[in-house]
Amino acid sequence: MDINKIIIILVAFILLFSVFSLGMFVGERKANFSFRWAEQYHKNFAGPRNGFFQDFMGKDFMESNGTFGKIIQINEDSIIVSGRENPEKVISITKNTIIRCQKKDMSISDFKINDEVIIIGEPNQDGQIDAKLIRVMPKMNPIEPLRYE
Amino acid sequence: MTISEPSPELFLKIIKRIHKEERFLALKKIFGVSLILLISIIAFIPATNFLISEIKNSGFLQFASLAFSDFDIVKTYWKNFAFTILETLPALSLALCLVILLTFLQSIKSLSKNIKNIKIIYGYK
Repeated sequence: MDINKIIIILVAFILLFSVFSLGMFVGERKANFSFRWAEQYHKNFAGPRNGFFQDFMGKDFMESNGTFGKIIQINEDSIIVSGRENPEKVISITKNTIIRCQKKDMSISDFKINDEVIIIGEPNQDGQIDAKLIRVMPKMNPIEPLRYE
Repeated sequence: MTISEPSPELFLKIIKRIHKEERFLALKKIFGVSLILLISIIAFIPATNFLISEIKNSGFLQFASLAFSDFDIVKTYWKNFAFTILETLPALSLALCLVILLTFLQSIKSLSKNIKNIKIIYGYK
């Protein structure tokens, strides 16, 4: 067999193995976060004691390092965000969290219910996300239809 | 003991038969490759739609847009950003789309190669 062919096969195998391992690693992180989220659901959202873990069986797990969606609740040092297909997540805000809307820096007091946000952070042990960056999306004013008299 | 000589037409007959078989095989290959090409074109449309809807629903674009709007912050928290991108990347639909695209390109390559072969067999320039 040609040496070039052997090298190509080896590289392809290493690449395939790396992608597979990366997929497993990411999947494990998502599964861990989803498990903690479900376990702590009753504490975070005052829901049923066993949480909603049953809902996750056989379904996709949640993203653990970020979320996007609308703010549905604002607390002193956290917000609750509900995504389009994702269930609600508690976003913990610290003094190091950067909150931005367009080019302005904001604080938690500037948040309003239904604000659209994109969040990047780190999952914690309580099934919450410790936010590093919160980008508030500017509200788009719908164009008013022309009225003919 | 005498060795019988083969008829002088035998060689031509064998060559003709080989050519006929070559033509038949080339046409069979062209038909098969064309069929794969057609299937890949048809399958590419729903696969692309699936990929687009997955990208929209996963929030991949929203997170990716942070790399442009908040590059400095993303650079600082690159690990979290990379994980978010990896988590929201619609891997299944992307893989499906790429497999179909690869099949499409491979079948075009094979088709052009077979067309060249059949031109040689038929003696076209």
